[in-house]
Order: sequence, then structure tokens, then C-alpha cells
Amino acid sequence: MIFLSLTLLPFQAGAQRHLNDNAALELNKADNLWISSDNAAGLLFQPVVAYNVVSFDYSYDSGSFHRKQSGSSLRNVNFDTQGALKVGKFQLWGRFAYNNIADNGTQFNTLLYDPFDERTIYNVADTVSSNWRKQSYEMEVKAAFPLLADKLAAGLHVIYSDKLSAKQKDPRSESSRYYITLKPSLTLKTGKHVFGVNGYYSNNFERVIPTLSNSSETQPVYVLRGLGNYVDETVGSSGLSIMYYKCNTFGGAFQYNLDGPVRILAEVGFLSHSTNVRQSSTQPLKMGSTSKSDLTCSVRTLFGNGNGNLNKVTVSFSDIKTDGTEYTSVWDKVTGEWEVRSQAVMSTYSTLTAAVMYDRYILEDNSFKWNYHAGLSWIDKSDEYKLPHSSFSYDNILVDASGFRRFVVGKSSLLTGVCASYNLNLSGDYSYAGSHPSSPLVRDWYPHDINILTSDYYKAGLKADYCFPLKGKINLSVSGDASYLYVDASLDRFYIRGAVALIF
Amino acid sequence: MINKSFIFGAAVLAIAAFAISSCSDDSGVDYLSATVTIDESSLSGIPSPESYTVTFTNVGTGDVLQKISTGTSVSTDSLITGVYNITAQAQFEKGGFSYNYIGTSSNVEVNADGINCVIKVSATKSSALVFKEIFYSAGKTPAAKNYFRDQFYEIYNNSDKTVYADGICLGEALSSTVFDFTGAAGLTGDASDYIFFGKLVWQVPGDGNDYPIAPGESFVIAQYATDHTAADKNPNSLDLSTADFETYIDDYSSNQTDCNAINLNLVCNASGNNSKQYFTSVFGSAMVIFYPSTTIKNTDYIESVNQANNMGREILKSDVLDAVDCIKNATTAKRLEAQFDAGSIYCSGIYVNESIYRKTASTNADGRIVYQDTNNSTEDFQISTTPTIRRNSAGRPSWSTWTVAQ
Repeated sequence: MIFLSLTLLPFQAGAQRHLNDNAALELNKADNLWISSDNAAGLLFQPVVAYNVVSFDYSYDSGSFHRKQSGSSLRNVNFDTQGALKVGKFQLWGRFAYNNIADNGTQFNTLLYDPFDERTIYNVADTVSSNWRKQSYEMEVKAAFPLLADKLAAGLHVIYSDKLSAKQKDPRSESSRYYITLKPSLTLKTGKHVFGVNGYYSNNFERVIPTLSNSSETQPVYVLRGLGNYVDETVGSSGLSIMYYKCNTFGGAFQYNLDGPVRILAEVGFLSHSTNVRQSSTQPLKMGSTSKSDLTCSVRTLFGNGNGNLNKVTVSFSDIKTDGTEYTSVWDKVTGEWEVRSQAVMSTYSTLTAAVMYDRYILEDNSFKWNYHAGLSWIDKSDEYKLPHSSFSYDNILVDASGFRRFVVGKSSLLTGVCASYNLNLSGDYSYAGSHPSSPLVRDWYPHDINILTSDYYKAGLKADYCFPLKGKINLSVSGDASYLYVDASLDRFYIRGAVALIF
Repeated sequence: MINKSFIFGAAVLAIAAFAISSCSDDSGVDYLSATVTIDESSLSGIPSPESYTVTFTNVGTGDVLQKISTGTSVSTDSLITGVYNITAQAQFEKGGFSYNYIGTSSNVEVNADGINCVIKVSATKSSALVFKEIFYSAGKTPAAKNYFRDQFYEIYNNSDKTVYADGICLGEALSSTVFDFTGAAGLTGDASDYIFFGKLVWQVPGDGNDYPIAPGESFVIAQYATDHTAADKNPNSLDLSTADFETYIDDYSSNQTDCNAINLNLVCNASGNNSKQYFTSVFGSAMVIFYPSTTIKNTDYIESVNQANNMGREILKSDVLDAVDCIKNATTAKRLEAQFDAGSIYCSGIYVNESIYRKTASTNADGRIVYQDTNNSTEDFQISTTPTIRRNSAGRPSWSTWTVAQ
């Protein structure tokens, strides 16, 4: 409620400009180097212009271009409210978002809200095509305040999220997932230079109850070990028990900011995630654990040529590595507990990414008249199951470009734009050498996914956003966008979205 | 100026990032080697086989590796880190006798190269009476309802001599890996000499000469010896009206009537089960037939020392004729010690209408089939989707003459 009330506060005296459409909001964020970093304290030295937004949007996408664990169609109803303002010496930013998701036609995911999270590779799979119903609530707040005049600032970024999901067909499951993230930060300003550091701690917990609606018919499932390797199990009767996924993340980042005609923010961050998977709380059985490390670097640069233009260049790099550890436990009849007798890192997952983005804004009033964007990104994925050796890898380059024009009609504005991208696959392969070569995981799931992930595709889209004053300083935005992804006649996907927002 | 600052900063970060990421530790997992030595010191007076089949079963994954020994030793370099059950077995015929050699080492931790494991084998002569077919998984009616009243156990005379079914007992053994009876109150002798039964034990009546089973004949014990294909039962099932024995307790809610099959005697009820109907777990049980050397008491049960309130009836291991460890799936722990069954067998699920039946080892000139019996149900049994009594034209005993249920 605190966040909601913050976001509904009227415009505060002392702000230098009023943001009255989505283009102005976008420019406001693009012009601020610290808002998208992990360091909240930096907002004190470069505040975001005060704003409030309450939006409601509906999106739908459908098509054959999807991985097996994601749906053939996805519907999302989203409510989002966010805002920034200065209260006394405090610079505040807050957001609340609610999502109601219908994910239809998924396979090979029996338990998890997010089957693509590499921290939870020890999932359970089944071959039944099923729908998922999901809800998520997410609240976050950033606060920055001075510790020593204009020299030293402290900050805190807090994120809390609660997610629920339910699989709609046997074998069913109900999942409750929550996480809380804390990022305390400090920034020190000396002349044109600002140095920052932040810590990072996150606790992530997911509890999943496997169930059946038809209890007389147990369902076979696969307890995953990675890349097509698994152990047979059932849901129902004395089969799979409640599963617990617990993750703790520690880390931090360093920032360097240079102010002047050219503004630069460089950031290096590192996170270490440790996840344990356990079955049953009364007779806990270790199902696996993962150790994941994220190394991220970015450099963002803003500069103008003095003629009302703003240029932004972003270079980023990330290196993410995950190790999967398997355990062999034996039931000890003396102690009445499962005893771990063997453990080994049996699988590794590696993701390298690099990207260069360029944005140019032709400024007009508090917003922009034109926005041009170009981007180039690269991803290299390399996953391995050690023995018997199996591998899953791909290497892609994505090129994207877009252009937006904002028309002003009286006090209203119309923003229109087009975007296009092309994904080029450089290489990719899945090979399996385990003991289940004819299983549905090896014959169906992984070959399908490698085909999707190594596809060359074109994507094009359109967007329109009309904003007009409603009452006083409150503006109403009505927007829509659509895009279409094409590989070939049998593989494509379309996306549409409509949104209504109050901006004040 | 703009370009230099930006390029310099990006370059420094990129170099640092690549340097850090390239320093990641790649601790590999390699195949490990192990050597198994077979200890034959207990085979006094029994000839040694030419070789053993040594099976390495990964406890965590269910993966299996088999090797043939050279004499009493075998090596492999194809194991991955884990915990293994290692079994050595052989079969050897000499002087008209068939010998089964078996030895197991359980939960061997393979986490380094060059593991050495010694397996002590023991040997037994093949029993005349063996489980030939067991139907426990039950099935479903055409209306997709669970139906388990047609469970049966077929026992076959695998020898060339007539034996008698009188006094033979059928029961489900308690798991040797879960229940411990060492030093239990009221137990005479060493717990390691016994096998324990925690549920109902049934016994064939007779004075010793009433129920002969000739070579190549079998007797069928049905839960309910009726024609289960009747419309009010399960048309997907089979006709058990010619079964020889049945486990009849009571006319419980008209679920079961007393059929022409001879009623077994309920001689032991260690669990105190008051149910008026008998069935075994559709997930599988450790099924055992034995001939008790002493009269079975139905009181004063022995309480497990590590599982309070779990009672068992002790039976000498030397009384066991045959045993089959029926389990849920590949990673379920075994219940029976290796000397009774070195392996295990499982159906594809429950209510799947599958039975397990013994493989044919040979067929004599007179057409009599000798079934495979290496004391390892993994090797000796296979799955059928059509449970059948007297498969392969097994003979029906001469005293079993009825053709309908009642």
C-alpha cells in the first residue's frame, strides 16, 4: 500500500518538468544512467524526474514457434503502477505489478513456475500437454538519501515477489514461490566522478505439491538430471512427495560514473546462487543442487551534440555458469533417514552474451520527436552432461532496429513506430549418449527445442500510442502494438498487446 | 574525446570480464575403475563355475552394467561416481544337480579410481517348486475402474520328481533393508538366520500326501477363484474358476463367495489385519513360498527393534523354497536379501494388467519345460500384458478337477 500511495501522489513542487506521455517517460529513464543499475544511492546525484503511472494491459501471443516448456499460446493481464518523487531529502522510486497469466499447451514441466530458471534444473517432467494458470505479485522500491552533504549517499533497493501457479492436467501441481531481494548501496561523489558499490542478497523459495484429480490413475513422470537423463517416478499413491527448492544469492556490484558533456556509467557485478532441491519434509531426500554464478559488465554513455539531440550507447557482457550436482542417497534403517553416500557435479551450463545498443533521440519539449535505435547482440549457449557425455549448444547473433516518430496535436501526442529484427544462427547441436535414447525427452523435447533455438527468423512490429489530457495534469494513454515472427510456413508466432495508462 | 573515454572504459571492462570468466574451474568427472574379486570360500563340496556374471547397478539412476568374470575376478573402467549394488551370479550343472551361485555387495561407494570389492558367494541347489507366474499389478474394468480381485500366484514343479504341495506356505516378507530384528525380544537364536513375515501367511492344507504335483505340473493360488470375465466383474480380466487354491477369508459384503478351489489355511496374521478380504500390494511385494520346519504360531510375534509396533513372524531362511522381489520401479530399494533373489522385477505401473512370468530355460524331449531359475528375478522373469494361468500348457494336478467356480 505504501508503494501504491507513493505512486498516486500528485506531482511535487520542485520538479523541473512534467512528463505527460509515454515518450517523455521513456526519455526520462533513458536520460538517467543510474535508474537501471543495481545501485539505488546513485539516484541522489542524478534524480529521476517525478512521475506517476498506473497502467493496465492485455497481451496475447500464439504460434508454433515456442519451446516445449512454454505454451503454444500465452495470455497475460497486467496491472502496473510506478512512480518517482522526492520526499524531503529522500529520492524515492517504487513499483507494484500484478500479472495474471494463462500459459496453454506446455509440456515437460510438471512442477515449476519458471522451468527456464537454471537454478532449478532438477525439475520433473511429463509428456502430457497441459495448461498453466499463474499469478504474480511484485513490489519494489528504491530509496536514496544523503549521508554527507553532496558527497556521500546511501541507498536501498528492495524487491518482494510472490508467485502462484497451478498445472491444469494430471499429473498436476500447485506451486508457491516467493523471493525477496535486498541491495544496500553507497555512492561517493568527488567533482565529476561518482563511485558506487552495492551488495546483493536474495532468498528464493518454491514449494510444489504434486497432485492428481483422478487418484485411481497414477501418472508416470521423469525426475530430471539434465539433457535427457532422468529417473522414473510416479505422481500419485506413494509416488513423488512435496518438492522444495531453496536458493540463496549473494553478490554485489561496483559502479563508476563520469559527469559532464559526456556521461558514462560503467558497472561490474557478480552474483553467486546456491540452490538445494529436496523431496518431502518428514523424510527429506536430496534431489540435487545447483551452483550458479553471474558475471555482468556494462558501460552506458550519454552525449549530445548541442543541437537538441541525445545519444545513448550501451555495451554489455555477461557470463553465466551453472553446475548441477547429483546425489545418491541410501535409506538407513537404523536412523530412519536418507543418507547421502555419493555426490558429483554431473552437468554444467554456460551462457555468454554480449550486446551493443545505440539510441538517438531528437528532442522536443520534454520529450522527443524522433527516436532511432539499432542493436547487435550475441549469445553462446553451451550445456554439457558429463558422463555419459551429452551436449546442448547454440550460437546466435540478433540484429534489431526501430524508429519512432512523435506527433503533437494541441495538447495530445501520437507516437508511432516500426521495429524489425533478424536472428542468425551460427551453430547448434544436441547429442545424447545416455541410457534412455528412445525416451520422449531425447526423441521429442530436446530435438524440438534445439530446432527452435537454432532457427533463423525475421521479426517485424508496429506500435501506436495516443496520449491526451484527461483532467488537470492527468493524461490518458491508449496504446497498442503487434509483432510477427517468421521462420517458415510451419514455424511462426504473432504477438498483440493493448494498454491503457494514466500518467500524472 | 567522447569516443576515447567510451572505448577505453568498455575495453577495460571487457578485458576484466573475459579474464575472470576464463578462470572458471572445470573439474571434470571421469569414468572410474573397479575390480571385483569373488570369494568362494563358503563353497565347500560344491564345484566352482567357469565364470560369473557380475552386474553393477547404480542405486541412484538404475543404470546397469554387466561384465563376465575371468575365473573369480572381473574389472571395469566404465563406472561413474555413485553408489552401486554389485551382484555376482552363476549357474552350473553337474552330476544331475543344478547349482545357483549368488553373492551381493550392497551400497558400494564408487567415488575414486581403483575401487576393490570382494563378494562372497554362496550356492544352492535348485528347488523343485518355483514361482512360475505372479499377477499382482491388477487391472482396470472397461469403465476404467480399478479391479484387483483377480490376483494369482502360480507355483510350478521345475524338477523331474513328483513333489507335494501339502503344507507349503505363501507370504509377503518384510523388507530386510527397513526392518531390523537383531536382538529382538522373544526371538530364539540369531536374527540373521530368519526371514520375517509381517502380513498374512497362507498354508496349503493336507497331511503330506493329499496334493501331489507331478513334473511339469503347477498349482494356482487365486485370491478369488472365480471367472472374473463375468459382466458384473471385469471383462478385461481372466477366468480363475479352475484355480486349485484360493485365499478365502469371509463372505465380505458379497465381494467374494467360497468357490470350488480348495481354501488355504490362514496360519499367521502378524499385522493383526482385520480385513475380510486378502490382496497383496499392486506396487509389488516380496513374495515367498516356504515349507516350515516347525508349526507356525499365530501369537507372540516378534517386534522390530527399529520400527516400533511392526511385528513379524520368523521363519528359518533354510525353509525358503523360492522368492521373488516384486518392486515398484527401477530405483525402488530391494526388500529381499540376495540369497533369496539377487535381482528384482517390476511392472510398468499399477492397474496395468501385467503379470510377471518365468523364462523358459529348456524344453525336454517329452515337452516338459524347465524354467530358468538363477535366483535372480531380473534375469529369470519377464512381463506379460496378458496374465495367464498354466501358460505354456503347464499340467493341472490330477486332484484338481472342477471346471467352474461353484
